[in-house]
Amino acid sequence: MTTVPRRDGWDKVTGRARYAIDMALPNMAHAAVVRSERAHAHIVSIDRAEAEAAPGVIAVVTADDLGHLGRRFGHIVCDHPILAVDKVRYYGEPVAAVVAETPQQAADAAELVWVDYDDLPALTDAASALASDVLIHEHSYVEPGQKFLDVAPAASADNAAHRSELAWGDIESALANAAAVVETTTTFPLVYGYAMETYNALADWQPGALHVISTAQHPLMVRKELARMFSLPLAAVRVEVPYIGGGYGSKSYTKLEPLAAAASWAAGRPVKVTTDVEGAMYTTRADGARVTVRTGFDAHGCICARDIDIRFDTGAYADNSPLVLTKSINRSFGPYRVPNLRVRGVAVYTNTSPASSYRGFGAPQAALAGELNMDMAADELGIDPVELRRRNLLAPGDTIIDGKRPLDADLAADLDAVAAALEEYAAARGASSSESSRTDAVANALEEHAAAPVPGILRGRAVAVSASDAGASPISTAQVRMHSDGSVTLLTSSTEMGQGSRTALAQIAARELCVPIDAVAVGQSDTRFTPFEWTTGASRTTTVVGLAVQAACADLWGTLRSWAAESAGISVEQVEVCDGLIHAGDGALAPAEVIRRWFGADAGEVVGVGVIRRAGATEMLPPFWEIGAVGVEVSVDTATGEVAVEHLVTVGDVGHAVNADLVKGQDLGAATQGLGIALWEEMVYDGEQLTNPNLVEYRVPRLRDTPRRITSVLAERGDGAGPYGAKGAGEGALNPVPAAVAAAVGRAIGIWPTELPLTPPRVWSLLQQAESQTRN
Amino acid sequence: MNGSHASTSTVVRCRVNGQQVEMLVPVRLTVAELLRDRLGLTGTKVSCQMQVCGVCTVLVDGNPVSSCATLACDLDGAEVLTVEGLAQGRDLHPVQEAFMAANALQCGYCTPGFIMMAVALLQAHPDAEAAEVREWMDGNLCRCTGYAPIETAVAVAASRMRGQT
Amino acid sequence: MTTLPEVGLVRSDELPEVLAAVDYDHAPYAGGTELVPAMGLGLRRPAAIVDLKRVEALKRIDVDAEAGAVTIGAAVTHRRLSDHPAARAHLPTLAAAASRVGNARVRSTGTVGGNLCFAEPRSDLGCVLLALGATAEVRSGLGVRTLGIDELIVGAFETSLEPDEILTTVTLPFERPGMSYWKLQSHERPTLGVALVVTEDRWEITVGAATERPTRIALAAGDTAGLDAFVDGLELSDDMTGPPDYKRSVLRTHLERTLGAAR
Repeated sequence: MTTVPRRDGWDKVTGRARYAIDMALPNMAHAAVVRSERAHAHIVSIDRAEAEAAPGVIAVVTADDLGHLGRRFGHIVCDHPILAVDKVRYYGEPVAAVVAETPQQAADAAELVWVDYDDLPALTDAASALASDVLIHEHSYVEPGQKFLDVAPAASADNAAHRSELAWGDIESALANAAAVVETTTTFPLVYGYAMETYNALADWQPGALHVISTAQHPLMVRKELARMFSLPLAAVRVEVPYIGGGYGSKSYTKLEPLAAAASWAAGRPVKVTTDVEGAMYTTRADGARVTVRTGFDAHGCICARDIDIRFDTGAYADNSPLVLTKSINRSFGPYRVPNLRVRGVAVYTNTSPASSYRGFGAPQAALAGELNMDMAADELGIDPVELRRRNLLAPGDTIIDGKRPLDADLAADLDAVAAALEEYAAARGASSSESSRTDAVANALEEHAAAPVPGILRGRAVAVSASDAGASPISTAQVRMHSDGSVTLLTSSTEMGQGSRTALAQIAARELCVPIDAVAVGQSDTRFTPFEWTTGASRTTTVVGLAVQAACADLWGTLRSWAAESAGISVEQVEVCDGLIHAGDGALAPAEVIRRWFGADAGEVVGVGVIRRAGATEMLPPFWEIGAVGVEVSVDTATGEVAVEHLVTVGDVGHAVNADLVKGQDLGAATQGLGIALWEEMVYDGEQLTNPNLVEYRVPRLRDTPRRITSVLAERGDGAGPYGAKGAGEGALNPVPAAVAAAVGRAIGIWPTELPLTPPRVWSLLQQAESQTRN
Repeated sequence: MNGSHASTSTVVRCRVNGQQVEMLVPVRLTVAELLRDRLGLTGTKVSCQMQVCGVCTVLVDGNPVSSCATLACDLDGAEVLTVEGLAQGRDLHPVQEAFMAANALQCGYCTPGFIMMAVALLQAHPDAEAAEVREWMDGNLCRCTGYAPIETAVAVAASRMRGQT
Repeated sequence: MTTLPEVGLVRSDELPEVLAAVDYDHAPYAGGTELVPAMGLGLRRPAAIVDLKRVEALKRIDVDAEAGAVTIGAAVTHRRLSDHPAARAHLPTLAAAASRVGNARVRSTGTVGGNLCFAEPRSDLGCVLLALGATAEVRSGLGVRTLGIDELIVGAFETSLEPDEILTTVTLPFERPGMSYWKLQSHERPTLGVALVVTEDRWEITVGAATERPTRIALAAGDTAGLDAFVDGLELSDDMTGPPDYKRSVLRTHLERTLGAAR
């Protein structure tokens, strides 16, 4: 299909595009959040008198003021209080909300709320939290039989938020009999998604009804939690999501909405809450991870076993981390033939900001260890790292995990495309010197460094691959309404956060209904008007929602046929649809004509509804395997430890690109976030407190960091379950990037980095280690 | 003169997108708050509040400023241009057109800031070279695109604007 | 979102009125690039800000060709400084450094005086001005003092200004041949800045950003022992941009390369 321009372009370049942060309601008040200044403490008292007396203040709300409302949320484990109940579990946790006429008055008064704490030991890292007798959650919030997708949370006697395991074969004997066993342990940092529109929510509670406008990626999930907390029927809760200023998974599930809704309930007014960046960093981050991979190989370099341990730093509340952990386990051993496997995972509560979904969803954490391990193994076995992967990659149709969809991708072809692009660029540059062995490279570089006036530069390149069970739950509903002129309104609850869903879905509807793209209008998600959607995440929209749109269009054609038959006085079987026209006896009619004839006026419309569930093309889970196949070439400045990305290669293995520009945009954007994790991004805790809660010191990729050369390959083999053979994109190009960068830097400097991000001082320190190893 | 009785509000007279504005504003009010909350010009965004991200960029007398870190009282006598003031009626500014054509946006939240920065650069230096564009635009963050399409858009706009003058 | 605290405004075209208004609770205010975020974070809570931007005397750039000196008003923005023909002609290293401070928005509002008076260690201008041998004119309602940059900036975020004083101008001799400024910057602010004035018989080295305040030494050319002692003796900061060992190594390598070539 040809690429068409984004439907939201005009809105966004003119400043007309409306985001939740731009929304207002009549008589709206503003809430400021009073946040904990302790990481772990009992709340002794909250003195609010001064705040209540401050100008413009309407209400000061604490957990004690919430009456009959549900005080906690959490779609997997209901452990997350709207406002801290009795104790705080991380620095920055909301303790009270001050509602006032203006944001300024609310902020002024929030400083006048005095909280008295009784300190508890703060467990700010996963290792000590797991070993400690001090419990961050004294009792479990798990109810018997509770389940969310594959995740059945269980009460735990320690600080584990969730444990999970995946195993087959006989791992112990396979490792004992392996020709070589290679072990890798990596540390994946705590990272913050930094969606540039920070979390915000505007809530309007009325008796029997709640209206929320927010940055939620998954409005229907939020509706469900709010309905439970406010004891309202689903229909009484309306969640509206206009354009979202960046999501990347960080806006999945419920965030600020209960706080805004509770404040509105308490104040009897519409209330808006908007976090600043610091508040956003306290709201959600990605799980940090320590992962150990032990891989056994036979004499031919074939994997005979992988034994993997994953420990997540999940922060103070579970949010979506139990599911992220489960997915991380599924994604940890790579798209390789692994006859014997054991993966054990634990997500650990700590006294830090809560972690949840983030682009890649456990895959980048696990791939860092798994793919770096493949490079280390390649060196130990004396096999080229691309060749080692080729020997072990699964083929199309192979089983990755028993009972799940067989592999729907040609990974070997993807890997070859990556390797070829890397080679070509390196050859063009005459970079054959980087092929020399690591030890030599370091020695040469040091010599050069001593002699030459220009800084010594080391180069390295690496590939990495991953496969993720993506698409989430295949539950989706779409509605297409064709009007009396033949134009179409498409309604879905898929949220537009930049990925271009409104464009891609409109393209699918236009193609199915044989109308020009400009004849298709797409509405914003609004649970009152748009039909049910599971989530907007897991790279699922084009595939799963796209199928729902196709089904809705088919349904619409069916109705048109029956109307045409009825108008012509013939049976439906005598009506044919061809090239967008309806042949009903005496000639070909445009759909608009069928509608007008049936209504007997230049009026009316025909509605098609499409439903996707676990049946048919989406019976087998996952709906698709999302592929990551990337390569990087890096250069390292030996004097400063600065790493520059010389070449980035991504392969968008999407089956069919409904919109090639959008797919390439997703791939580059995802890969760039991967580069951020690899090189820069890290939330640094010093004791109880986050030391870099701002964009001055939380460094994200900048324009000057853009790779010198970018190669974006699209692989369209029509092998997906989605429309026209499509599969999802959006995360695949991130997942293997941190691993590829770590391996490339390792090859450049002669020592394998196992801890990200590879900031200049950290790389410099590795260079010192490499130098002393060379000397000894 | 004793400053202890300094007034906490002041009258600002300025032009915003060509329209005269006269308003009593608190000294604590930022330009972004004036534009977004008082004038309804929500095209200007706010994010990092530390002059790092650039989403709040507007032009004051042709100079790019971070509207979230600039006081509204400083606008007295100034000419302010926001993203809403770029198009001439239905005709988009070449920079706006280039951002659309080059697919230089995804979520769009950073887009007004990038566009205003590019306009500031190209108004002052229509012949800006690629390296200069890179250095200038490096002061804005985008979390979606990976920047390459944005560089392309600015280059396309620059050549179009040179062609027109 | 962060909002700013309630604050008053004092504004005048006349320097004496501005001087009369400034005190502990009444903060001088020009570009606001440092003060406004600091107020937002609650680090500064002045009762009022005293706007210096309308005082013409603080916005001038004057060249004294005879004396071979340039005087820059404290409220001159980085952008105006870097674009100014006299600055580019007589102070090319300073003009270049000013053109790379922060980003284009910071440069269009941020001022030379604000940069110096906030005394953020991770900064460029203090280092370059110290290397140039700049002097700062400081005034209060009671009188005027002239200070070296090392007398003005006395520590991290610390100057020798009294609460009722403001920095009015900085005067610099024309740049001497052999001057350069190099910085390592991985984050939003520089990790390390090194200004050099290298002549046949003399090495003048000024280090900034990694030190609490810019630090300068003059050595006889070729005095590598003195150079080592200087580098080893520097107290370097430990922060997000790296530990002291790292910064010392980068500094040493840079000095070895640049001074080695000059040897």
